[in-house]
Amino acid sequence: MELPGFGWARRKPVTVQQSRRLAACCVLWLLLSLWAAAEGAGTAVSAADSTNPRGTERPLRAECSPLRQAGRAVLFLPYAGIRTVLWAPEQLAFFDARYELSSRMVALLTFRAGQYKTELGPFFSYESSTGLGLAGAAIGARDWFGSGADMKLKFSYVGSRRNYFSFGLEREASPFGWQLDGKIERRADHPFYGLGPQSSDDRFDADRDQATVEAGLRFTPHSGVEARLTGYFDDTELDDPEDADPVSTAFPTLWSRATDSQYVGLEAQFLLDGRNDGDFSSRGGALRLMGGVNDSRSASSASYEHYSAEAQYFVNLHDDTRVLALRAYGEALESRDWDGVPYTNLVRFGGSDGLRGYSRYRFADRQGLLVTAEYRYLLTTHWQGRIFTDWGSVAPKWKLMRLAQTDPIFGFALALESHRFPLLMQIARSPESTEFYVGTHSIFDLHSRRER
Amino acid sequence: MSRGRRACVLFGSALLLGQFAGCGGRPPVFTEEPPVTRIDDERNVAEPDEHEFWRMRHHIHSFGAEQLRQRLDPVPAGPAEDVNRLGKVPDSSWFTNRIEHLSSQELRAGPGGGDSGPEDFRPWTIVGMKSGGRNPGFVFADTRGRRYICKFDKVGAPVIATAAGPVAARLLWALGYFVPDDRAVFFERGDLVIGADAEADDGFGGRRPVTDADIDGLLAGVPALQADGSYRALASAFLEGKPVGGYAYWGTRKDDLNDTIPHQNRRSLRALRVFGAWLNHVDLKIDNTLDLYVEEEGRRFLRHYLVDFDGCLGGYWAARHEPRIGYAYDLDLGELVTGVPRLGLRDRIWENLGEPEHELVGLYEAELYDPAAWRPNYLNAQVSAARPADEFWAGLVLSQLSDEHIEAAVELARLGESGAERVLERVLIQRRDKTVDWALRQVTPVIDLADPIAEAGHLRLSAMDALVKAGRPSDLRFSAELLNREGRSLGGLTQEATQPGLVVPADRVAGEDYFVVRWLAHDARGRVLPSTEAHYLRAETAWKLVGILRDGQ
Repeated sequence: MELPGFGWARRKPVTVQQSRRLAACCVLWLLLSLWAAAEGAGTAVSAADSTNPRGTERPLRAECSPLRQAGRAVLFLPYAGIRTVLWAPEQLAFFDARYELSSRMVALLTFRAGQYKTELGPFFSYESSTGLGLAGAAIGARDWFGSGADMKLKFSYVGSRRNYFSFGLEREASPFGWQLDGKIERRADHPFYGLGPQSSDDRFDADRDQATVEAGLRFTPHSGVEARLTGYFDDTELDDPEDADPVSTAFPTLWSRATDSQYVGLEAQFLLDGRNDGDFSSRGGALRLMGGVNDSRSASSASYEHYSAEAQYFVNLHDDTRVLALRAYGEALESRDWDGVPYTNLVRFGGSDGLRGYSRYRFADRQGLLVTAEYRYLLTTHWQGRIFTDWGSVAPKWKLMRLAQTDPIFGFALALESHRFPLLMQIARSPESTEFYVGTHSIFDLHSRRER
Repeated sequence: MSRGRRACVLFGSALLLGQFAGCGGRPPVFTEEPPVTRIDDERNVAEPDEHEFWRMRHHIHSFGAEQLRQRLDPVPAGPAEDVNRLGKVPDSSWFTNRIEHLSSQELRAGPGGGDSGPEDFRPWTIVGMKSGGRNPGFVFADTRGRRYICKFDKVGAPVIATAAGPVAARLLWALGYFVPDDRAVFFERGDLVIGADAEADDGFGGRRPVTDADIDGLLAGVPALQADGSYRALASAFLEGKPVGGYAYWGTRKDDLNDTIPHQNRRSLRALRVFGAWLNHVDLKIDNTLDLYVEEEGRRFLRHYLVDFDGCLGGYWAARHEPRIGYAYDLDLGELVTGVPRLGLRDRIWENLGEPEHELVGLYEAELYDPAAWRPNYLNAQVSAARPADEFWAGLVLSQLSDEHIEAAVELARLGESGAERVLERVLIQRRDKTVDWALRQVTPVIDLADPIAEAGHLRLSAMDALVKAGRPSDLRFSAELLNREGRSLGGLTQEATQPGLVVPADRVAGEDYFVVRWLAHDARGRVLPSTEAHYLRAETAWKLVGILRDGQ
C-alpha cells in the first residue's frame, strides 16, 4: 500500500544526496523535539533561589494544549496584522513622548496676545459627496484683549475646492451678549441641481465667491430661552467654471437669473430649549423660530423674506440610555420677483445638514419640509449608536409639498460625545446613493446658523 | 513532489511534532526543602535610569492592540512565578505578608508608623504647584521639612476623592502592598506660606514663581467644607528614596538585576484584579505605580509602590460621573463593537446603578457589584493575566481582613457625623464578602492542608473549606482522588463530602515515595471547580506535605 504523498519514496531509488538531506531533516526534527521537551524540563532548584521559589523539580509549564496552540497560530494572524497597522501610530506616540513633540507643538501653537493665551488648532470635516469639506486651523482666545468676548479666527484651504477665512468675536454674557463675524470664502465646483425633486443627472457646477459680515445681539433672560437679532451684509458671485456666458446658458434648468447679488439683511430668532443635555439629550424638547428680511442692493438680484421653524423632542425609552429623538424642520421664502433670488439662497436639502444619504444641496426650491427620527442607544460612556431616518422634500408652494415625491433615507451613526463637541461618523443610504460623513456638526444642533 | 517541497513537508512536520513534544507528561514534582518565605530581591544594584510614562503610547496600546490581543489569544497567561510551594507569595520588595498578624491599631498607624501627620506642624510652606492628574493641588513642606502632595476634591463632588484616597491606600497597605502615607487633612488659608523657590507651570511650557493669586485661585475652585472656612484636602507624604518611574505591565526592568520575574507573572500584581474590584481601583495604570531607589542597611535597591488612590471607591465617579466606571474600559472596543448590533436591547449592570446612597461616598455600591464583571479604566496586562489560582490567593488574603480593620481604615476618611462613614463601612464589608465569595470559588477551596498524621493502618489528611473558614456560606461538595508520582490514579478517596479532610489507607501508598491528592469541588449548580492538588513526600520518618497546586499552578 502506498501512502498518499509518499509515492516519491518508492518510485525512485534514494540517492546518497537525498539520504543526507533526509538524515539532516531527521536530526533537525530530533533537535527541535528535544528543544521543545527541554522547555518543560529543568534542574532541581534550591528553595532559596529567588528565581524559582515554587520548589518543583522543573518549572511549571504554561498552558500548552496543542489545539489551543494551533488556535493561537490561526487567530493571531489578524492580530499580527492589527499590530502591524498600529505599529506606526504607536511608534509615533513613542517618539512624541520621548522627544515631547506634541507638547513642543502645543507650545509653538500657544502664544501670548497681550497677556491673553491664544491657541491654534486644526479642524476638519468630510462628506463623501463633496470630499474634504473643511480642513484648516483655528485660532481661539478667551476674553480677547479684555473685551470679555471669545475670539475665533479660522482659515481653511483644501486645494482649490474650498478656501475660507473667517473672524469671529462672541460674548456669551447673560442676559445680553453680542457677536461679530466676518467671512471670505471661495468654493469651486459648487453643485447645482434643478429645482424641486429633479433627476440627479441635472447637476451643474459653479464657482462661488462670497464675503459676509454679521453683527448680532443676544438676549437670554432665562436659561433655555434666547432671542437673537442679527444684521448682515452679503456679497456673492457665481461663475461658470468653463466661462460660459451668460450663466443662464450654462445652467439652463436653473430658475434664477441672479449670479451676482448683494444683500443687507436683518434676521430674528427665538429659541426655547428645554433639552436636558444638548445634542445628547434624553428628555425634553426645543423650539426654534426664525424670520428675516433680505434687501437686495444689486440690480440682478431681488429682495426676499425667509422663515423657518424647527421643533425637537426627545423621548426617553429606557433609563436615559435609549432615546427616540424627533425633529421637524420647515423653511419658506417669499419674494415678489422669484427670478431674482439667487439659487444659493433658496431652501436647500441634502448632505449632513438634512436628507443625509443624498448628495449635498441635492434639492432646492422655495419651500422645504424635513422630518427626522433617530433611535439612539448607549454603547459605552460617551459613545452612542444612532439609527436614523430622514424624510423631506422641497416644493414651490406649501400646498404642492409632497413628501412622497422623495424616498426616506436610512442610516447609522456612531456618535462620540467629547468634552467640547460631538464627533459624528454617519453613513446614510438613499435610493440615489450611499453617503458617508465625518464631522462635528449634528442635524440636531440648535445653534447652527442659516447658511448664506 | 519536488525535493524542495519534500524538505518543506519534513521541516513542517518536525516543527509540528516539536510543538507538541513538550506537552503533557508527568505532573510537577516538589522537592523537600522548606517553603520560601522571603525572596531576596533587595540586593545592591546600580542606580537605574528614570522611566517616563508615555501616556499616548500607553493609551494606544491599552485601548487598541492589547484589547485585541486579549480577545483573540486563546492561550491564557502562564503560571505565576512569585509563588512558593504552598501557593503563597513570599515577602519581597513588591509585597509583604502583613494582614495575617495585623491589628486594627497597627492598621491605623499605617505605613507612617503612627506619625501624626502635617496638621500638627503648621504653617505649611508651598514649594510648588501640582501639574497633571484629575484634581488640582500643590506640594508643601511642614515645619519638620517633610514634604506632602496636597490634592483637593472637585467642585460638585466634595469629600469623595479626599476620603477615598486614604482609605484605599491604607487597606492596600494592610493587604501587603507598599503605599505612601495618605491622609485627609484640614487647614485654613492662613496656614499656607509660599516658599521662596516655589514655581508653577506658566501655561506656555515654562516656569514662573507661585503667587498668592495662584493659591487663592486654586482654593476658590475647591469645595470649602467647614463653616469656619477651613479646607479639606488629601495629603500624601513624599516617599523616601529616589523615584525612577513606574513599573511596566510586561516583562522586567532591564536595569534592575533584582527584577527577575516578569511583572505580568507576579501573583502579587495579578491579585490587584481582586483587590482592585473590591476597592473599585479603576485607575490602575503604570502612571500610578512607582519604583523608588532606596538605601537600607548599606544596600541600594528598588522598592515598588502603588500610588494615587483618590480614584478608588467612588473617587473616579466623583471626577467624571460615569456609572460605567468599574464595568468597562475607558475606550472599550468590545462594548463598542458588540454594542452596535445589539441595538441597545441588552441591559448592562451599570445602567441600573442609580444614584449614590450617600453624597459623600459617591457611586460605590455593593448591591449590584459583581467582581467577575469588574474592569479597570485601562487594560492592565497584570490584571488581565490573573488566573483562578491567583484570584483564589487574593481571596484568601482578603478574607483575613476583618470588619474591624475596615472600620479602622474608614476612620481615616474623617467623614464626621454625616453618616457617610457607616455607609462606606457597610459597602466595603459587603463588597469584601462578595469578592471573597467569588474569589474563593475560582478553584476548589481546600485550605489548611498539613503533614499527614499516621494512625493505625491509615494516614489522616486534614483540610478545610476556605469558604467556611472565611465565614461564608458554602454549598460545595468535595471529592478526592489519589495519584502517584507519575500522575497515575491510585483510586478515588471520597465522594460528595460537604467538608474536605480524609483518611488514606496506608496500603494504598505502601509502595510509593510520593503521592498526590487531587481535590475537586462542585457547587449546587453542578459547576465543577478547578482542582487543588496536595503533594506529599515520604520523608525519613513520616509523610510530609511538600507542595500545593491550584488549577495546576
